[in-house]
Amino acid sequence: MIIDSETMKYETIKKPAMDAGKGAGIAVAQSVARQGVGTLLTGFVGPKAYSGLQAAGIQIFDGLNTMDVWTALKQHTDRLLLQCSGTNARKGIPDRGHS
Amino acid sequence: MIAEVFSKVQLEALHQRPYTTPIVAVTGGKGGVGKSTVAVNITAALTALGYSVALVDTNVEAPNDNMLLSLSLDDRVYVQVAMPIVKTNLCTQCGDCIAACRRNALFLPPGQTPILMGECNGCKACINACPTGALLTGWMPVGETFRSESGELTLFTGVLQPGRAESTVIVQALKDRLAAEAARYDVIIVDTATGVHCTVIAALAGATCAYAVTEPTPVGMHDLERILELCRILAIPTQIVLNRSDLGGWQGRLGACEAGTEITLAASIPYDSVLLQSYIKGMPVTQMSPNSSSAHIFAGLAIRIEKECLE
Ligand code: SF4
Ligand code: SF4
Repeated sequence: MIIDSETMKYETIKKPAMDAGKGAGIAVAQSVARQGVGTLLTGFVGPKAYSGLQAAGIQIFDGLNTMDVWTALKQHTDRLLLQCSGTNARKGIPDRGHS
Repeated sequence: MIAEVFSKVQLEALHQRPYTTPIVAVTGGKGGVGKSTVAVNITAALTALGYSVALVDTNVEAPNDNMLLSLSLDDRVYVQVAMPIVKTNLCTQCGDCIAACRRNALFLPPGQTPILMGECNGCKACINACPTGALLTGWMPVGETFRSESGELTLFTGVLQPGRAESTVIVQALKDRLAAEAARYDVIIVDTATGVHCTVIAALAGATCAYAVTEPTPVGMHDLERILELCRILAIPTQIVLNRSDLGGWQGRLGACEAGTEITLAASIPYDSVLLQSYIKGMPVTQMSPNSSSAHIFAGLAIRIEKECLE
Protein backbone atom coordinates (compact mmCIF):
# COMPACT_ATOMS: atom_id res chain seq x y z
CA MET A 1 0.00 0.00 0.00
CA ILE A 2 1.43 3.33 -1.05
CA ILE A 3 0.37 6.55 0.66
CA ASP A 4 1.12 10.07 -0.52
CA SER A 5 2.03 11.74 2.75
CA GLU A 6 0.91 15.18 1.52
CA THR A 7 -2.51 14.34 0.12
CA MET A 8 -3.04 11.13 2.17
CA LYS A 9 -4.28 9.53 -1.06
CA TYR A 10 -3.35 5.89 -1.31
CA GLU A 11 -3.19 3.02 -3.74
CA THR A 12 -2.16 -0.59 -3.36
CA ILE A 13 0.38 -2.51 -5.42
CA LYS A 14 0.70 -6.22 -5.77
CA LYS A 15 3.68 -8.00 -4.34
CA PRO A 16 5.38 -8.88 -7.60
CA ALA A 17 7.54 -11.84 -6.85
CA MET A 18 5.26 -14.28 -5.08
CA ASP A 19 6.14 -16.83 -7.73
CA ALA A 20 9.74 -15.84 -8.33
CA GLY A 21 11.87 -18.74 -7.15
CA LYS A 22 14.97 -16.60 -6.79
CA GLY A 23 15.50 -12.98 -5.97
CA ALA A 24 12.01 -12.35 -4.59
CA GLY A 25 13.37 -9.77 -2.15
CA ILE A 26 15.16 -7.84 -4.87
CA ALA A 27 12.04 -7.90 -7.04
CA VAL A 28 9.96 -6.45 -4.20
CA ALA A 29 12.55 -3.74 -3.57
CA GLN A 30 12.54 -2.99 -7.29
CA SER A 31 8.78 -2.53 -7.46
CA VAL A 32 8.75 -0.35 -4.33
CA ALA A 33 11.60 1.77 -5.71
CA ARG A 34 9.85 2.11 -9.07
CA GLN A 35 6.87 3.76 -7.33
CA GLY A 36 9.14 6.55 -6.14
CA VAL A 37 8.65 5.57 -2.51
CA GLY A 38 10.82 7.45 0.00
CA THR A 39 9.86 5.69 3.24
CA LEU A 40 8.84 2.11 3.88
CA LEU A 41 6.85 1.03 6.94
CA THR A 42 6.85 -2.71 7.18
CA GLY A 43 6.89 -5.80 9.35
CA PHE A 44 10.09 -7.34 8.17
CA VAL A 45 12.51 -6.97 5.29
CA GLY A 46 14.75 -9.77 4.09
CA PRO A 47 18.47 -9.26 3.48
CA LYS A 48 18.27 -8.83 -0.29
CA ALA A 49 15.30 -6.47 -0.15
CA TYR A 50 17.16 -4.48 2.50
CA SER A 51 20.23 -4.04 0.27
CA GLY A 52 18.00 -3.00 -2.63
CA LEU A 53 16.02 -0.48 -0.59
CA GLN A 54 19.26 0.91 0.85
CA ALA A 55 20.72 1.30 -2.64
CA ALA A 56 17.56 3.15 -3.68
CA GLY A 57 17.91 5.46 -0.66
CA ILE A 58 14.58 4.38 0.85
CA GLN A 59 14.17 4.78 4.62
CA ILE A 60 12.92 1.60 6.27
CA PHE A 61 10.98 1.32 9.53
CA ASP A 62 10.37 -2.33 10.42
CA GLY A 63 8.92 -4.49 13.17
CA LEU A 64 5.42 -3.13 12.53
CA ASN A 65 3.74 -6.42 11.69
CA THR A 66 1.23 -6.17 14.54
CA MET A 67 0.25 -2.57 13.78
CA ASP A 68 -2.43 -1.42 11.35
CA VAL A 69 -1.39 0.91 8.55
CA TRP A 70 -2.90 4.11 9.95
CA THR A 71 -1.47 3.60 13.43
CA ALA A 72 1.93 3.00 11.91
CA LEU A 73 1.63 6.10 9.78
CA LYS A 74 0.55 8.19 12.78
CA GLN A 75 3.46 6.91 14.84
CA HIS A 76 5.80 7.66 11.96
CA THR A 77 4.61 11.25 11.55
CA ASP A 78 4.94 11.62 15.34
CA ARG A 79 8.53 10.32 14.92
CA LEU A 80 8.01 7.42 17.30
CA LEU A 81 9.38 4.69 15.05
CA LEU A 82 12.87 3.25 14.94
CA GLN A 83 14.66 3.05 11.63
CA CYS A 84 15.72 -0.44 10.52
CA SER A 85 19.45 -0.84 11.06
CA GLY A 86 19.78 -3.89 8.88
CA THR A 87 20.65 -6.17 11.75
CA ASN A 88 17.16 -7.61 11.63
CA ALA A 89 17.49 -8.10 7.91
CA ARG A 90 20.30 -10.56 8.37
CA LYS A 91 22.73 -10.37 5.51
CA GLY A 92 22.53 -13.39 3.27
CA ILE A 93 25.66 -14.84 1.78
CA PRO A 94 25.71 -13.73 -1.85
CA ASP A 95 26.00 -16.74 -4.07
CA ARG A 96 24.99 -17.93 -7.47
CA GLY A 97 22.93 -21.03 -6.62
CA HIS A 98 22.96 -23.62 -9.33
CA SER A 99 20.32 -26.06 -8.39
CA MET B 1 7.35 -44.64 -4.79
CA ILE B 2 8.10 -41.17 -6.11
CA ALA B 3 6.60 -40.28 -9.49
CA GLU B 4 8.92 -40.28 -12.48
CA VAL B 5 11.06 -37.18 -12.25
CA PHE B 6 12.44 -37.16 -15.77
CA SER B 7 10.75 -37.98 -19.05
CA LYS B 8 12.45 -40.37 -21.47
CA VAL B 9 13.61 -37.46 -23.63
CA GLN B 10 15.03 -35.61 -20.61
CA LEU B 11 16.88 -38.74 -19.50
CA GLU B 12 18.35 -39.22 -22.96
CA ALA B 13 19.52 -35.59 -22.94
CA LEU B 14 21.01 -36.01 -19.47
CA HIS B 15 22.99 -39.09 -20.42
CA GLN B 16 24.05 -37.87 -23.84
CA ARG B 17 27.80 -37.59 -24.39
CA PRO B 18 30.09 -37.27 -27.41
CA TYR B 19 32.08 -40.48 -26.82
CA THR B 20 31.39 -44.15 -26.16
CA THR B 21 34.02 -45.02 -23.53
CA PRO B 22 32.18 -46.82 -20.69
CA ILE B 23 31.69 -44.76 -17.53
CA VAL B 24 31.55 -46.54 -14.17
CA ALA B 25 30.29 -44.30 -11.37
CA VAL B 26 31.27 -44.93 -7.75
CA THR B 27 28.70 -43.31 -5.51
CA GLY B 28 26.77 -43.89 -2.26
CA GLY B 29 24.47 -41.59 -0.35
CA LYS B 30 26.48 -41.45 2.85
CA GLY B 31 29.81 -39.76 3.49
CA GLY B 32 32.76 -41.65 4.89
CA VAL B 33 31.73 -45.07 3.64
CA GLY B 34 34.80 -45.41 1.44
CA LYS B 35 33.64 -44.22 -2.00
CA SER B 36 37.05 -42.75 -2.81
CA THR B 37 38.86 -45.80 -1.46
CA VAL B 38 36.76 -48.05 -3.69
CA ALA B 39 37.13 -45.72 -6.71
CA VAL B 40 40.89 -45.45 -6.36
CA ASN B 41 41.34 -49.18 -5.80
CA ILE B 42 39.20 -50.36 -8.70
CA THR B 43 41.03 -47.83 -10.87
CA ALA B 44 44.36 -49.30 -9.78
CA ALA B 45 43.06 -52.86 -10.27
CA LEU B 46 41.86 -52.01 -13.79
CA THR B 47 45.22 -50.48 -14.73
CA ALA B 48 46.86 -53.66 -13.38
CA LEU B 49 44.72 -55.59 -15.89
CA GLY B 50 46.32 -53.46 -18.60
CA TYR B 51 43.54 -50.93 -19.18
CA SER B 52 44.03 -47.25 -19.68
CA VAL B 53 41.80 -45.62 -17.04
CA ALA B 54 40.63 -42.07 -16.41
CA LEU B 55 39.58 -41.44 -12.81
CA VAL B 56 37.39 -38.37 -12.35
CA ASP B 57 37.22 -36.92 -8.85
CA THR B 58 33.97 -34.93 -8.75
CA ASN B 59 34.11 -34.33 -4.97
CA VAL B 60 34.77 -30.72 -5.91
CA GLU B 61 34.20 -29.43 -2.40
CA ALA B 62 36.88 -31.68 -0.90
CA PRO B 63 38.64 -33.68 -3.61
CA ASN B 64 41.20 -36.18 -2.31
CA ASP B 65 41.63 -39.03 -4.77
CA ASN B 66 45.02 -37.49 -5.61
CA MET B 67 46.08 -37.96 -1.98
CA LEU B 68 45.01 -41.60 -1.98
CA LEU B 69 47.17 -42.04 -5.07
CA SER B 70 50.03 -39.78 -3.89
CA LEU B 71 49.65 -37.70 -7.04
CA SER B 72 50.19 -33.97 -7.28
CA LEU B 73 47.53 -31.77 -8.88
CA ASP B 74 48.97 -30.76 -12.26
CA ASP B 75 47.95 -28.85 -15.35
CA ARG B 76 45.55 -26.34 -13.79
CA VAL B 77 42.70 -24.79 -15.79
CA TYR B 78 40.55 -22.08 -14.19
CA VAL B 79 36.76 -22.37 -14.29
CA GLN B 80 34.88 -19.10 -14.64
CA VAL B 81 31.26 -18.06 -14.95
CA ALA B 82 29.89 -15.04 -16.78
CA MET B 83 28.48 -12.00 -15.00
CA PRO B 84 27.32 -8.60 -16.24
CA ILE B 85 29.55 -5.56 -15.84
CA VAL B 86 27.81 -2.19 -16.20
CA LYS B 87 29.43 0.51 -18.32
CA THR B 88 27.63 3.32 -16.54
CA ASN B 89 28.28 5.95 -19.22
CA LEU B 90 26.37 3.92 -21.82
CA CYS B 91 23.42 3.05 -19.58
CA THR B 92 20.13 4.86 -20.24
CA GLN B 93 18.45 3.29 -17.18
CA CYS B 94 15.81 1.72 -19.42
CA GLY B 95 15.36 -1.29 -17.13
CA ASP B 96 15.39 -3.90 -19.91
CA CYS B 97 18.10 -5.87 -18.13
CA ILE B 98 16.02 -5.99 -14.94
CA ALA B 99 13.06 -7.40 -16.85
CA ALA B 100 15.29 -9.96 -18.61
CA CYS B 101 16.81 -11.45 -15.45
CA ARG B 102 14.71 -14.40 -14.36
CA ARG B 103 16.61 -14.62 -11.10
CA ASN B 104 16.01 -10.98 -10.14
CA ALA B 105 19.72 -10.65 -9.59
CA LEU B 106 19.94 -7.07 -10.87
CA PHE B 107 18.58 -4.04 -9.08
CA LEU B 108 18.05 -0.62 -10.63
CA PRO B 109 17.91 2.12 -8.00
CA PRO B 110 15.94 5.12 -9.32
CA GLY B 111 18.23 7.55 -11.12
CA GLN B 112 21.18 5.20 -11.05
CA THR B 113 22.57 2.29 -13.07
CA PRO B 114 21.95 -1.42 -12.40
CA ILE B 115 23.73 -3.17 -9.53
CA LEU B 116 24.37 -6.92 -9.45
CA MET B 117 22.89 -7.85 -6.13
CA GLY B 118 21.37 -11.32 -6.21
CA GLU B 119 22.25 -14.82 -7.29
CA CYS B 120 23.47 -14.44 -10.85
CA ASN B 121 23.85 -17.73 -12.70
CA GLY B 122 25.79 -16.35 -15.63
CA CYS B 123 23.02 -16.83 -18.22
CA LYS B 124 23.80 -13.50 -19.96
CA ALA B 125 20.11 -12.74 -20.62
CA CYS B 126 20.64 -9.20 -19.29
CA ILE B 127 23.64 -8.66 -21.55
CA ASN B 128 21.66 -9.73 -24.60
CA ALA B 129 18.69 -7.59 -23.59
CA CYS B 130 20.61 -4.33 -23.13
CA PRO B 131 19.79 -2.07 -26.11
CA THR B 132 22.78 0.24 -25.69
CA GLY B 133 25.58 -2.25 -25.13
CA ALA B 134 26.06 -0.96 -21.59
CA LEU B 135 26.44 -4.47 -20.19
CA LEU B 136 29.71 -6.25 -20.85
CA THR B 137 30.53 -9.86 -20.06
CA GLY B 138 32.78 -10.18 -17.07
CA TRP B 139 34.20 -13.46 -15.78
CA MET B 140 34.20 -14.61 -12.22
CA PRO B 141 36.57 -17.43 -11.22
CA VAL B 142 34.75 -20.15 -9.25
CA GLY B 143 37.27 -23.00 -9.18
CA GLU B 144 39.80 -25.07 -11.09
CA THR B 145 40.26 -28.40 -12.80
CA PHE B 146 43.48 -30.43 -12.78
CA ARG B 147 44.86 -33.32 -14.80
CA SER B 148 47.51 -35.63 -13.34
CA GLU B 149 49.11 -38.65 -15.00
CA SER B 150 50.71 -41.78 -13.64
CA GLY B 151 51.34 -44.57 -16.14
CA GLU B 152 48.03 -45.86 -17.49
CA LEU B 153 46.08 -43.81 -14.96
CA THR B 154 44.97 -40.24 -15.62
CA LEU B 155 43.31 -38.39 -12.76
CA PHE B 156 40.95 -35.48 -13.39
CA THR B 157 40.24 -33.38 -10.31
CA GLY B 158 37.77 -30.53 -9.86
CA VAL B 159 38.18 -28.00 -7.08
CA LEU B 160 35.49 -25.51 -6.06
CA GLN B 161 36.59 -22.22 -4.54
CA PRO B 162 35.49 -22.32 -0.88
CA GLY B 163 32.36 -20.28 -0.30
CA ARG B 164 31.07 -20.56 -3.85
CA ALA B 165 27.94 -22.41 -4.91
CA GLU B 166 28.94 -23.53 -8.41
CA SER B 167 29.86 -27.18 -7.65
CA THR B 168 27.83 -28.35 -10.62
CA VAL B 169 29.60 -25.91 -12.92
CA ILE B 170 32.96 -27.37 -11.83
CA VAL B 171 31.75 -30.95 -12.37
CA GLN B 172 30.54 -29.98 -15.83
CA ALA B 173 33.84 -28.24 -16.66
CA LEU B 174 35.68 -31.36 -15.48
CA LYS B 175 33.55 -33.61 -17.67
CA ASP B 176 33.99 -31.31 -20.66
CA ARG B 177 37.74 -31.40 -20.15
CA LEU B 178 37.65 -35.20 -20.02
CA ALA B 179 35.38 -35.40 -23.10
CA ALA B 180 38.08 -33.84 -25.27
CA GLU B 181 40.29 -36.91 -24.77
CA ALA B 182 37.82 -39.56 -23.52
CA ALA B 183 38.23 -41.76 -26.59
CA ARG B 184 41.81 -42.63 -25.65
CA TYR B 185 40.76 -44.38 -22.42
CA ASP B 186 39.36 -47.90 -22.10
CA VAL B 187 37.17 -46.95 -19.15
CA ILE B 188 36.28 -43.89 -17.09
CA ILE B 189 35.70 -44.15 -13.33
CA VAL B 190 33.71 -41.28 -11.83
CA ASP B 191 33.99 -40.79 -8.07
CA THR B 192 30.93 -38.80 -6.97
CA ALA B 193 30.31 -36.60 -3.97
CA THR B 194 28.17 -37.69 -1.02
CA GLY B 195 24.42 -37.21 -1.25
CA VAL B 196 21.73 -37.13 -3.92
CA HIS B 197 21.90 -33.45 -4.97
CA CYS B 198 22.47 -31.80 -8.34
CA THR B 199 26.26 -32.09 -8.19
CA VAL B 200 25.92 -35.86 -7.77
CA ILE B 201 23.39 -35.99 -10.61
CA ALA B 202 25.81 -34.06 -12.85
CA ALA B 203 28.52 -36.60 -11.96
CA LEU B 204 26.21 -39.59 -12.60
CA ALA B 205 25.04 -38.23 -15.96
CA GLY B 206 26.19 -40.49 -18.77
CA ALA B 207 27.19 -43.38 -16.48
CA THR B 208 27.03 -46.86 -18.01
CA CYS B 209 26.62 -48.38 -14.57
CA ALA B 210 27.15 -47.44 -10.94
CA TYR B 211 28.44 -48.95 -7.71
CA ALA B 212 26.80 -47.63 -4.57
CA VAL B 213 29.21 -47.96 -1.66
CA THR B 214 27.72 -48.28 1.81
CA GLU B 215 28.29 -49.78 5.23
CA PRO B 216 25.94 -52.01 7.27
CA THR B 217 24.80 -49.38 9.77
CA PRO B 218 21.37 -47.76 10.15
CA VAL B 219 22.62 -44.53 8.58
CA GLY B 220 24.44 -46.43 5.84
CA MET B 221 21.29 -48.37 4.93
CA HIS B 222 19.10 -45.27 5.02
CA ASP B 223 21.38 -43.31 2.71
CA LEU B 224 21.83 -46.34 0.45
CA GLU B 225 18.09 -46.43 -0.16
CA ARG B 226 18.23 -42.79 -1.21
CA ILE B 227 21.07 -43.21 -3.67
CA LEU B 228 19.46 -46.37 -5.11
CA GLU B 229 16.28 -44.37 -5.63
CA LEU B 230 18.26 -41.66 -7.43
CA CYS B 231 20.01 -44.23 -9.65
CA ARG B 232 16.61 -45.76 -10.43
CA ILE B 233 15.25 -42.33 -11.41
CA LEU B 234 18.31 -41.79 -13.61
CA ALA B 235 17.93 -45.32 -15.07
CA ILE B 236 21.51 -46.29 -14.22
CA PRO B 237 22.05 -50.02 -13.47
CA THR B 238 23.49 -50.06 -9.96
CA GLN B 239 25.15 -52.64 -7.74
CA ILE B 240 26.13 -52.43 -4.11
CA VAL B 241 29.59 -52.51 -2.56
CA LEU B 242 29.33 -53.17 1.16
CA ASN B 243 32.33 -51.72 2.95
CA ARG B 244 33.26 -52.70 6.52
CA SER B 245 30.86 -55.56 5.91
CA ASP B 246 31.56 -57.22 9.28
CA LEU B 247 30.39 -54.11 11.15
CA GLY B 248 27.06 -53.30 12.71
CA GLY B 249 24.88 -56.25 11.84
CA TRP B 250 22.52 -54.53 9.43
CA GLN B 251 23.30 -56.92 6.61
CA GLY B 252 19.73 -58.24 6.95
CA ARG B 253 18.34 -54.90 5.81
CA LEU B 254 20.62 -55.07 2.80
CA GLY B 255 18.98 -58.34 1.80
CA ALA B 256 15.60 -56.60 1.87
CA CYS B 257 17.03 -53.74 -0.18
CA GLU B 258 18.32 -56.14 -2.78
CA ALA B 259 15.11 -58.11 -3.03
CA GLY B 260 12.95 -55.01 -3.35
CA THR B 261 14.95 -53.34 -6.07
CA GLU B 262 16.56 -56.20 -7.96
CA ILE B 263 19.96 -54.83 -7.10
CA THR B 264 22.91 -57.12 -6.51
CA LEU B 265 25.70 -57.04 -3.99
CA ALA B 266 28.86 -56.84 -6.09
CA ALA B 267 31.35 -57.05 -3.23
CA SER B 268 31.69 -57.18 0.53
CA ILE B 269 34.81 -55.68 2.02
CA PRO B 270 35.40 -56.71 5.65
CA TYR B 271 37.37 -54.43 7.93
CA ASP B 272 41.04 -54.80 7.02
CA SER B 273 43.97 -53.04 8.69
CA VAL B 274 46.04 -53.46 5.52
CA LEU B 275 43.43 -51.42 3.61
CA LEU B 276 43.59 -48.77 6.32
CA GLN B 277 47.38 -48.65 6.06
CA SER B 278 47.17 -48.19 2.30
CA TYR B 279 44.71 -45.35 2.84
CA ILE B 280 47.11 -43.64 5.23
CA LYS B 281 50.10 -44.27 3.01
CA GLY B 282 48.34 -42.94 -0.08
CA MET B 283 48.84 -46.05 -2.18
CA PRO B 284 46.11 -48.36 -3.55
CA VAL B 285 46.06 -51.63 -1.63
CA THR B 286 46.19 -53.50 -4.92
CA GLN B 287 49.67 -52.00 -5.37
CA MET B 288 50.84 -51.91 -1.77
CA SER B 289 49.83 -55.45 -0.79
CA PRO B 290 48.64 -57.30 -3.91
CA ASN B 291 48.22 -60.53 -1.93
CA SER B 292 46.02 -59.08 0.81
CA SER B 293 42.38 -60.08 1.03
CA SER B 294 41.24 -56.52 0.22
CA ALA B 295 43.42 -56.44 -2.89
CA HIS B 296 41.77 -59.66 -4.04
CA ILE B 297 38.33 -58.16 -3.56
CA PHE B 298 39.19 -55.10 -5.67
CA ALA B 299 40.82 -57.28 -8.32
CA GLY B 300 37.56 -59.27 -8.39
CA LEU B 301 35.57 -56.06 -8.82
CA ALA B 302 37.84 -55.01 -11.68
CA ILE B 303 37.22 -58.34 -13.41
CA ARG B 304 33.50 -57.88 -12.86
CA ILE B 305 33.66 -54.44 -14.50
CA GLU B 306 35.73 -55.91 -17.33
CA LYS B 307 33.10 -58.60 -17.95
CA GLU B 308 30.05 -56.36 -17.59
CA CYS B 309 31.22 -53.12 -19.21
CA LEU B 310 34.38 -53.61 -21.25
CA GLU B 311 33.59 -56.55 -23.48
S1 SF4 C 1 23.66 -13.09 -16.30
FE1 SF4 C 1 21.57 -13.91 -16.11
S2 SF4 C 1 21.33 -14.30 -13.91
FE2 SF4 C 1 23.10 -12.95 -14.12
S3 SF4 C 1 22.28 -10.92 -13.87
FE3 SF4 C 1 22.27 -11.33 -16.07
S4 SF4 C 1 20.25 -12.15 -16.53
FE4 SF4 C 1 20.53 -12.23 -14.29
S1 SF4 D 1 19.40 -2.67 -20.24
FE1 SF4 D 1 21.35 -1.59 -20.51
S2 SF4 D 1 20.75 0.55 -20.74
FE2 SF4 D 1 18.96 -0.51 -19.91
S3 SF4 D 1 19.16 -0.27 -17.66
FE3 SF4 D 1 20.16 -2.21 -18.20
S4 SF4 D 1 22.31 -1.65 -18.50
FE4 SF4 D 1 21.17 0.26 -18.56
